[in-house]
Amino acid sequence: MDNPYIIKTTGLSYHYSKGAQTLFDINVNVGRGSIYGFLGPNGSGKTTTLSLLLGLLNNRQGDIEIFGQHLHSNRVEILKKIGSLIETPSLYGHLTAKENLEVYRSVYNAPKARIDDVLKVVGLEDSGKKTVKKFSLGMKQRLAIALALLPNPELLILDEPSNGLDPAGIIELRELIKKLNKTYGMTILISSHLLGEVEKMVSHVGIIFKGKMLFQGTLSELHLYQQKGSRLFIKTSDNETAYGLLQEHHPELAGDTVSVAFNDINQVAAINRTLTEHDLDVYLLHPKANDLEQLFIDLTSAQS
Amino acid sequence: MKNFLATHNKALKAEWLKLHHSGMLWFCLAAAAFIPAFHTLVSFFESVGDLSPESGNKMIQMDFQIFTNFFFPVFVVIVVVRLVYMEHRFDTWKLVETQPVSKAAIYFSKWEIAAFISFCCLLTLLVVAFLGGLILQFGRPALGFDQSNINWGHALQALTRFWIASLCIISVQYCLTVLLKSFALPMSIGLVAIFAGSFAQALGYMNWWPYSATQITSDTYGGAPNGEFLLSHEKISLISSLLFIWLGYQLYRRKSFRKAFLSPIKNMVVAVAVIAVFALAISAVNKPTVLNRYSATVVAGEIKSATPIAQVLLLRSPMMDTVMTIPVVNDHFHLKTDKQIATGIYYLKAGSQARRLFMGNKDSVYVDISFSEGEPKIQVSGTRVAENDYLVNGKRTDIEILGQYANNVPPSNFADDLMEYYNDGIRALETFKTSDRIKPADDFIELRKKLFATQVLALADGVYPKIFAAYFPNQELQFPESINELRAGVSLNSPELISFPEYRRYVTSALREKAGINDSLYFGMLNDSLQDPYTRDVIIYEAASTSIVRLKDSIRRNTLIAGILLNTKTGIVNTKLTEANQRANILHGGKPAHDFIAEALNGKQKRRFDFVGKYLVVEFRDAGCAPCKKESPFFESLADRLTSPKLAFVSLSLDEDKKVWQTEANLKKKTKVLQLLSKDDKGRISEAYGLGISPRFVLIDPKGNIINPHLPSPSEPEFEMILQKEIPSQGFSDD
Repeated sequence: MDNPYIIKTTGLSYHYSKGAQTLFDINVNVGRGSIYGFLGPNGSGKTTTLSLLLGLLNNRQGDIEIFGQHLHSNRVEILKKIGSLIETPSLYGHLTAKENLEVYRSVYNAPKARIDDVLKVVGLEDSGKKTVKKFSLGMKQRLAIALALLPNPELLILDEPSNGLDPAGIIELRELIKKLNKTYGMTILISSHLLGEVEKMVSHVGIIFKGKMLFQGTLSELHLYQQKGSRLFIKTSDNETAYGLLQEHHPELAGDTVSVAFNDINQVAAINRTLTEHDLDVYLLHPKANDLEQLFIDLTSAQS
Repeated sequence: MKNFLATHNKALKAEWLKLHHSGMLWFCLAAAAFIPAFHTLVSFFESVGDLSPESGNKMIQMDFQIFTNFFFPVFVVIVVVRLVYMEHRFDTWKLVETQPVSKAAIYFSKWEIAAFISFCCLLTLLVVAFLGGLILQFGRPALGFDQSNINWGHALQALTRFWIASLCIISVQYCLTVLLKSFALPMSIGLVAIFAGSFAQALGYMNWWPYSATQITSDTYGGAPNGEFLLSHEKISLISSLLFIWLGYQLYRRKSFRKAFLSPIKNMVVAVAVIAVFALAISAVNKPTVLNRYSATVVAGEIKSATPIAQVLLLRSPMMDTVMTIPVVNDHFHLKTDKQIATGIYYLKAGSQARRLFMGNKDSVYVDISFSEGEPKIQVSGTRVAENDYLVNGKRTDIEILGQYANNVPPSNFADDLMEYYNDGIRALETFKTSDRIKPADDFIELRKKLFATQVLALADGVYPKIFAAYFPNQELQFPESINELRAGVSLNSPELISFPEYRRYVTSALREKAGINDSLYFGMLNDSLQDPYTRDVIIYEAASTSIVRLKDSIRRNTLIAGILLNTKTGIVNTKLTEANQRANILHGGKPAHDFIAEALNGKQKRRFDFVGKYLVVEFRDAGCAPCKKESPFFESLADRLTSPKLAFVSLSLDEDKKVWQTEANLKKKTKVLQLLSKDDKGRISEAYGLGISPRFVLIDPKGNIINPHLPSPSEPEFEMILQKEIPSQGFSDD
C-alpha cells in the first residue's frame, strides 16, 4: 500500500467563530497498527480535531484522508470502519444496554451475537433490563466503548476514554486497548490530557497545545526529545574545532551547526568566550528553549 | 443521493428501535382513543333524538372533528419535540452522526417516524370510533347503529386529508426543534402558534397557517365541492411541508442558521431561490378561480328518495312563479335551455323540499338532493358554486341590529356605525372563497355590494329619520358624505335586485317613511316611484299582502285591493293577490273553520267538531321548525294559566313523519295543550286556514267560527290581550 498512514491530515485548520481560531495547521499522521496517544491539556483542541476526523464538524480548511480516502467525499464508507467515543458517552437513557446496541447493530450489518461479545468485552454482560439512565458514569463509559467496538472497526477513536473509570477500570481499559491492538490489529487513536495514563500503551504520540501540534513521533523519540532540554545552536568558522572545544557539554554536530545542551544563560556567554578565545569566528549563537518543557510538567505532574 | 437510498432503511430502523420504552406508542394510542371512547360512554346516557342511519358516520365525523380541531395539532407538536429532544437530551447527535449513514437519511427518517405516528394516531381514532359504534349497537340499540352503514371511502379520505394537513406541522416543528435544541422553547412556540392560528381563523384573517391546517380540514370535513381528493389548503400543507423539510435539513447539516442560510453568499442565494420556487407553487395552488359562464343555461341534478318524485320545479323568488319544470327520469333531471332568465334568487323545489339558488343566464347548476338519510341533504355545485356557498356560509353582517341601538345617537355616529358594518360586509364578500378556492363572479359581487348599500340606506332613510326627529327636534337631518356616496351607487329603481329581500325592504321602508301611515298615498308612491313594471308589481304585492292581514274590515280591504289590482299588470301578482284577499274574506267573515281531522297521542281520532261549545286556540306547527320551538313554551304556559272548561288549547302538527311527531309530542304530554297530528291532506288544510310560515295561531269560537285567523305570537303580550278581549271573562279562572 502506497499510503502507510490510516489517518493523514494536511494543514487542518478550524475556527468555531470568526476571529477565534481553534486549530492551526494540524498534521496528524497515524500509522496502521499503531496506538496513537493524542495528548494535550484541556482546551487545546483535541476534541475538535477528533470531531473533524469523524465529520462531526464542517467548514474546515485543509484535508483529511482516512484509509487513504478523502473524508469529504467518502464519509459514509469511511465511517463504516471506524468505532468512536467522543467526550461524554452518548446513549439513550430510556433503553437498556442491549437495546442501545441493537439500535445501531443493523446499521453496521453486525450479527446479533456481536452484541453479547462486545458487552462481555467491556464487562456489562449482566446489566440485564436495567435502563441506561440508571447506570453509573463508569458503566456508561464502558457501554459507550462497547458501542464503539460494535462494528469491529479497523480504526478506533477514543476521546478521553478513562473519564469516570476507577483505577481498576483504567487498568482494564488499558489492557483491553493493548489486546485489541495486538489480537485484531486495530489502529487506535486515543486522546488524553495525561501522559502517564497512556504512555504505558501507546506506540506513537502527538502533542497539541493551543491548537498547534508541538510534537509527533514515536514514544522513544519523545523521551529523547524530552531529555534534550534547551539547546544552543552554534555556527562558527570552524565547526570541527568548536565540536572539539565543547566536549564537556556533549555537543552534537548536525550539518553546519553544532548544538549543545544548556541550563543557564550564563553558560551561553562562557561558551562564546571559549570559542572566541580560540580564534574562532562565531556566526550564529542561538539559544533555543524547549517548548515542550512546561507542557511536560503539566502533562506529567497531575497524574498522581 | 446514492448514500441516502443505500442507508435510508437502516437509519429508519434505528429510529424505530429508539422508540422502545419511550412511551410514544402508548401516548399515541391514548391520545387517539380518548375522544371516541369518551363519546361512546356519553352516548349511553344521551337522549334518543336523532335516530338516523347516519349514526355511525356522524360518530366518526364528530370524533375526528373534535380531535383535529385542537388536540391533534398539540399531539403532533409534542411527538415531534419529543423525538428530536431525545437526541438533544442524551447528547446523541454525535453518536447518530458517526454512524455510516447519510445525514439526509438521518434527518428524513426521523421525519418519517413522526409522520407515521401521526398516521397511527388518526387510524386508531377511526378504529376506536368504529368499535364504539359496535358497542353502542349492542349496548344501546335505540341509537340505531345497527342500521347505519359506515361510508369507509369517505372516512379514509378524511383520515388521509387530516394526515396530510398534519405533515406541515411536523415539518415546521421539526425545523424549530432542531434549531432551538431545547424542550420548552419549541414546545411553547408550537402551542402559541396553534392558539394564534385558532384566533386568526376565528376572526377570519388567515386562510392558511401550518398549525391550523388540521383545524381547517376539520371545518371542511365534507371535502371539496368539486369532488377533488384534496382541498387547496391541504395541497399547500403538502408543498410547504416539502419546503420546511428542505429548510430543516439545511439547518441540521450546517448546524447553525447563519451557516445554513446566510454565509457563504451561495447558501443564501440557493435558499432564496428554493423559497421563491415554493412560494410560486403555493400561490398557484392558493389562487382563487372565478368560474366562467356556460354555453347555455342548464339545471340538472340527482334525487335520492324513497318516495318517487316525478318532477322538480325552478321557482323564481319572491313570487314563486314557475320558470322551469324538469321531469325526473331514473332519479336524474336535466334541462338545457336558451330561454333568458333573470340573474337572481330561485328556488329549486323537489317534493316537500325547496333549496334556494342563485343563478342566471348561461349558468350550469347541478343539485344533489338526498332524502334517504333522515334529514334531506341538498348540495349545489356548478358554475355558481361560490355564490351559493356564500349565501349559505358567508359572514353575515347583522346590520339591522343597529336600528335598535340608534336612540339618541347623532347622525354622524350612526353613519360611522353603519359604514363599519358595511365595510366589514364588503371585505368578507371580496375575500370570500369556497373551501376549494373558488370566488364568486363579479356580477354577484356587484349585486351584493348594492344590497349592502340598500341595507344601510334602509336604516338611514327608513328607520333613523323617526328616531332623529324624536331625539333631536328642530334640527335638520344631515348625514355625512359616506352615506350620500352609497346613495349615489344604488337607486330605488334596481330591477336586478328584485329577487333579494334586502332590496325590497329598502324600497318599502324608504317609501313608507315618506308616505306615513296613509295606505293609499303609500301605494300611489310605490306606483309612481318604481318604473320597471315587474319590480313595481312585486313590491306592491308584498305591501298589499301585509295590508290584507292587517285590515280586518273587509269593505276597506276589498276597496284597497280592487284599487291596487287596477294598476298591477303582472299575472302572477294579480292571481296571488286576488286569492289572498278571497282567503281573508273567508277567514275574517266569522265563517266556520274547516273541520280538521287529527289523531291524538292515544291513537284516538279528534276533529274540530269535537270542540264545539268551547273556545278553541289552535297552534299549527311542524316538528323541527325553529320559531315553533321558540313559541311553544309561551303557548303552553298560557294554556296553563288560562284554565277554563270553556277553553281548549290544541297543537296541531302537520308533520308527515309520525315518529318524529310522537317523539316531540311525548315530551309535551304534561302540558295542558292537546297534542294532535293532522290527518288531513296537507295542501287542503293549508288552504283552509291560509297557512304560510309556521307556527300559526288561530282562535275559533264555541260555534266553530273563526274569530281571529292570525293571532300574534304567544311570546308577545297582544296574544293574551286578544284572548282576554274575545273570550267572555266569566269563562276564565285565571290563577
